Amino acid sequence: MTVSVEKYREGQKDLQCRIMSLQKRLTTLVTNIQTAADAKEMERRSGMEDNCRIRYERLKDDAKACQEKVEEIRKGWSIVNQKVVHSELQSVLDSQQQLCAAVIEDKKKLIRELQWERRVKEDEYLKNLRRLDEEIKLMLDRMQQQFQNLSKAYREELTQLQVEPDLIMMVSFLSVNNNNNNNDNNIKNNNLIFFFFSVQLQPFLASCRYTTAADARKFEEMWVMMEEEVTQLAEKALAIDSLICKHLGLAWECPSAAFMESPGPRRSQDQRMMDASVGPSLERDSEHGTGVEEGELSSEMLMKAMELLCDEMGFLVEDKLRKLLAPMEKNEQTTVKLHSLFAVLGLEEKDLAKLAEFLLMYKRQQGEQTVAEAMENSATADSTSRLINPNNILPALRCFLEQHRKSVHERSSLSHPARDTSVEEAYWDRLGNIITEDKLKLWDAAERELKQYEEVLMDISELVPETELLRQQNTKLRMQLQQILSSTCTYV
Amino acid sequence: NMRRIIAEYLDWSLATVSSLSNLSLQCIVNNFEERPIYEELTSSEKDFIQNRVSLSLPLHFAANVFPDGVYWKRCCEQKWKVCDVSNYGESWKRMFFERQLENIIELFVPGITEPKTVLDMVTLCKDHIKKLNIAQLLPPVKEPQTEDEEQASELTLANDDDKSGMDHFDFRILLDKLTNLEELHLVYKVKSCGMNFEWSMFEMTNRDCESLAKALKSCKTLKLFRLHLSHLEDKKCRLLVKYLLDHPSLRTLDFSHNVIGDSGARAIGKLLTKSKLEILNLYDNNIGGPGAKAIAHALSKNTTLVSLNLCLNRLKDEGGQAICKALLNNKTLLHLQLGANGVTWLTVLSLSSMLAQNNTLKSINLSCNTLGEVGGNALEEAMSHNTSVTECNIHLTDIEERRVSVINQMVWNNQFRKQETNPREKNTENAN
Repeated sequence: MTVSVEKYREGQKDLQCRIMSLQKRLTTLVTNIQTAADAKEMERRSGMEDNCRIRYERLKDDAKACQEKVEEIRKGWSIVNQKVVHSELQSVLDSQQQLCAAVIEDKKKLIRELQWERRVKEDEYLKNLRRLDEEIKLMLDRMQQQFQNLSKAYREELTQLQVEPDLIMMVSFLSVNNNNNNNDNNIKNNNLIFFFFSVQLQPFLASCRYTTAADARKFEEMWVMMEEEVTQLAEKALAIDSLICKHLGLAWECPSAAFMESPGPRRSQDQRMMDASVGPSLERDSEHGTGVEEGELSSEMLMKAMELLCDEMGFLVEDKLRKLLAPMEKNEQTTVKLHSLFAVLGLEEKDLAKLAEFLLMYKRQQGEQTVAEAMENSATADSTSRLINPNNILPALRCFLEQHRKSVHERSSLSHPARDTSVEEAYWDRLGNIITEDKLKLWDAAERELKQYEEVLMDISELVPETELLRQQNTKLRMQLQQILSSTCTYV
Repeated sequence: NMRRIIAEYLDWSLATVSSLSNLSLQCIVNNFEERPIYEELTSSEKDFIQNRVSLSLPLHFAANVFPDGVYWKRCCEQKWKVCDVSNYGESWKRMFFERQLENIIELFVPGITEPKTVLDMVTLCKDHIKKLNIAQLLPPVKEPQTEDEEQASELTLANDDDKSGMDHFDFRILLDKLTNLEELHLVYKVKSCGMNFEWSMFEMTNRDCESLAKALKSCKTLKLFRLHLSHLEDKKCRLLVKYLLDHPSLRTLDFSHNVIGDSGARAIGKLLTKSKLEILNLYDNNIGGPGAKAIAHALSKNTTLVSLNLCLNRLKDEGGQAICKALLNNKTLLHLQLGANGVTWLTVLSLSSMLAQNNTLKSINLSCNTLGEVGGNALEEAMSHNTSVTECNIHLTDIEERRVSVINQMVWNNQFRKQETNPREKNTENAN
């Protein structure tokens, strides 16, 4: 085991080494640009020093030459002052003028040369600026590349680190198995690989199941809500229909219950059915067998089975957890380990019993001799011999998980079977047409009739107070008449 | 059941009525200036207010009410295009006030701008200013001279007294009030002066220097001072150093890209002995052998300096050898940069003998010096016995390729070995 882990550690070191050298190389690329700029600057400085020196020399020479010329001119002025003859004066003045012109000419030449130098310097300056601009661009480019390369390397390192725990487990346990007998080796390895993948896929499967379950629930809820609304409206319509029929003196028949049957989901019933179907498939085997009581699982057996499971599957429990559990009692250790195991394998508490039974039964599926063994030992009722052989726990658990997954899948898929959409369509159509065309016509006719009836009744109601008034007047007048008649009778 | 009506009632509005708390918060936002209700709110309510309150609130008011948060982030993003808050200690309030103050100082025209504008801002924010990076300092506006005056000024020699009319911003009014200032970056230049270029725009006057020096002395929390590209020559360097001696908190001094010569270097050597400087940067100056000797003398007795950058000076072998000899006694310097100084194999010999004894020096930069084969040989010899140097820059030193790679390999081994014992040490090269 130590060999393989060491190899892994070396790989890590290599990667770190690579990253460090990458960092160094890329940084050097960037700083080299600066060094090159420094070199250029040094050249420029030395060039400038030389130029300054040369110019200084030239200016000095020029000053000296100029000084000489000026001396000559000054001497000339003293001669001029001596001359009186016009022609001589003229010639001397001319020569003075020439000398002055020569001095000025020299100065002008100097100025031109200096100006030309200045122009050259300006061009150099522009060129320099452009070169600096390019160097800065190059520097930025290299820095950008550095960022990209380094971040790629860091990302690789990160992914390597993430895979590390699984790798170590895999490596260490494959090497552990190398120490055992080679017969079961391949099978064990396959089982181990299976478990590792199931561990890794666990979250993905869980989220898939969650989303499909969420969708199913939503669909059911919507269906139920629509159904309620529709049935309410339908009943209302039917009630009105019956009233109208009664009014018109027609016979009204309530549409049959089958009319209103909904092909929608009936959750509670189905699930219970499914549970019942899955259970027996596992427990069917318990029907066969010898007279030994198998259906019952004493708690003792359960504990022993679970302990065995923990021991064998201990490698699925995290190192840290195991260290934490070390000071606790064996029982407590087992329960906590079981919890974490179940979390990892995606099983729930209720599956515990099924798992235990399955493990016990697994033995039976192995072969004849095991049955014979069981028969032999049944007399002694030695419970421990009924327990599964530790070496077989891995494949047994694998079988159980496969079946468990299948059943869960079936359960979830049964709750929304290949929906018979035609049946549902028919249902909605039926409810939509619960009041047929004929009935509608009937209702229209009834409406008209009843309206007329209403008019008549309204007229009557308007006339009622009049008639009442007339009747009252009538009675009054009759009374008066009676009075008069009775009074006249007395007179006669 | 109400939901089902939506499809049937065509004029149903989907906008739900806000909760009462939201409505009241919105009311608070609308009337925030008259009645600032802030402290009593919960933190999510405070965030709501900060997100929606108007950005044109008077600054003194906002500075007192809002602590660092979204309000200042909004202010910054409204004012400036690029906002990287990691340069300001992850504090938006700090970024806002620092950049505001920098802006005010950069646009301050001496003689025209009222110092009051600076002082008002300072009273608002003096606790939040930790770093100032001032990229421009304007000279006073020059009155257009008549032709006579121009001719007169051309003929007379410019002397220092005339230049006093070009004093820049006086930092004495500012630095003693910034009680949290830790970093000050200055450069005496005028950005985008275009064709109005004048040399006086790119240098300090003597009076500038003196007032700056006094201001620096009054700032007792300053840790980093950088004055670059300002044509700082010996005289002004000495003046500044005079006031920086025994400064309580200064740790980093950066005078790069100036024209300091030997006399200024001597002053800096004195500063090294009378302060606790850790980083000294004199890149691109005019320091020669004598100046380097003064610095070396200080170095041999110094116990705080960690990084020294003398690249691009005129040290030559005289200066280079002096520095290397000084490091025989120095156990604290980690980074030494002597690139582009005209040193040759003679300095490398001193360096080798130093490296045999010194095992604290971590990085060396000898790039851009003609070391030649002799120098390369000596360096290879030295590196084979040394285990502490983890960075060695010998780019452009005229040493043959094969030897360069050998030396680099040895340095790499040192670095790798260190990495094993100290995993994940950050690779900070003291580049400029």
